[in-house]
Amino acid sequence: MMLENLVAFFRRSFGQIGASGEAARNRLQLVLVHDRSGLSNDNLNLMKNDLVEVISKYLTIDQDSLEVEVQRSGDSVILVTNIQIAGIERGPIKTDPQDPIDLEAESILPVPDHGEEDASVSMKSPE
Amino acid sequence: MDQTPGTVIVVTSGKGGVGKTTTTANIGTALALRGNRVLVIDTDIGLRNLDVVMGLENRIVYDLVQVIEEVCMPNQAMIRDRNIKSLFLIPAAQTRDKSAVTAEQMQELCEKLKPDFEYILIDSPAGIEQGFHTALAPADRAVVVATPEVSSIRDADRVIGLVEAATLPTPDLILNRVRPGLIRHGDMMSTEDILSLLSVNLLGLVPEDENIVISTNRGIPVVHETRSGSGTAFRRIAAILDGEDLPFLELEHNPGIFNRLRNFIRLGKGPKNDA
Repeated sequence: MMLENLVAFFRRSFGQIGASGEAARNRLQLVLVHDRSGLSNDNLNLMKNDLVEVISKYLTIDQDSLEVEVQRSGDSVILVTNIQIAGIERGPIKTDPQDPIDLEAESILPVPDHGEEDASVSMKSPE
Repeated sequence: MDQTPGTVIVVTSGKGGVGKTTTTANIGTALALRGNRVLVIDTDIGLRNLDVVMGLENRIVYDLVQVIEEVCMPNQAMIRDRNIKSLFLIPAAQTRDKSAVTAEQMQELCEKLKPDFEYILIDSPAGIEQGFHTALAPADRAVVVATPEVSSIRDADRVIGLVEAATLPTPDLILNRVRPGLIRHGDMMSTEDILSLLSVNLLGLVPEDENIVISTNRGIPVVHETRSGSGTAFRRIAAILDGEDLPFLELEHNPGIFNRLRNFIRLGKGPKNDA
C-alpha cells in the first residue's frame, strides 16, 4: 500500500500519467454536443426513418447502414449522416450490390475532416 | 436610502452539492460588508439550509411560504444577521414543498422588495424543475456555481441554456472547490478548458478550503475569516458584482513538503524535462 502510493507519486511526479483532466475535457466535449443538440432518441429514430424514406425515392440504399452523428466542427455543431448505396436506379452505372458505393450525405458544408475524431458523438440507434 | 431598485441575482447550479448555499451566504455577506443593504432568500423549500450556513436557524419565526400566503408581512419574515446590520435572510419553509411558491408569486415579492435593497440574492434549489424556475423568475442576472468535474460542468451547461432561454443575460460562472495542485498535475480540468466548453465568463475561482467546513460548523460565513483562501475569493467576487473592476486573479498553489520535493527533483532534471 505504501509502496503503491510511492510509485504513483513518482509516476505522477515525472509526468508519466495524470492527464485525467484532459480526458474529462474530451469526454465533456462530446457529451455537451449531444446534450445541446436536444435531439431525443425517439426523434432521432423518426428522423432516420424520414431520411431513409426521402433518399429511397432517388437511390436504393442499404437501410441498415444508416449512421447519424452530431459532430463538433470548430465553433459549430454539424449533423453528419453516412449511408451506403446499394444500387442506383435507372442509372447507367452498373453496380454490384455486393460491393456498395459509400455515399456521404451532409447537412452542412463544408465537409468535416473525418480523420479528425476530436468531437463526434455516435448516435446509432439500438439494433 | 437609495431609491433605485436593487439587483436580483439568482445563484444556481443544476447539480446539487457544488456549493450554492455556501456561495449565496458568502457573497451576500461580503456584499453587505461592503455597505450594501442585502437580502438573501432561500427558495429550497423543504430542504432549507441557508439559515444554518448563516447561523440564523434559531431566529426563524416566519418563512417564505408564509410571506407568499400573506400569513405575515415580508419584513416580519426577514431575519437580521447577527454581525451585519444591513444583511437579512428570508428562510425557506421546511415542512412544505416546491409547489408552495409559484414563479409569479416570487416575481411579485421581489418587485415589492427591490426598492429597499441594493441586492437580493436568491439561493436556488438543485435541479431544473419548478423550484429552479421559481428561483429564476425574479432574477435580473444569474450566477452559476460549478465544481471542475464532468458531472457538474455538464449540469452547469444545461442550466446556462435554461437561463438564456428565460431571456436573461448569459450567466457568469463561479468555479468552486478548485484545486490548483491537481490542475497543475493535469488531473483537473483547467479554468480555460471549462470556460471554453461552456462559453461563459468567469466571475471567480474559489479554492477548495477546509475553512468552509469550520465556518459552516460555526454558522459564520467564511468571508469573515480574513486570511482564508475561499473567504478572500468570495470577497473578490462580491467586489466584482458590486461593480469594481478587478484584474483576474489566478489561484496560488501552496506547495506542501512533497510538492517542494518534487519541484526540487524536477529542477535537478534540468531543461530536458521542459522539452
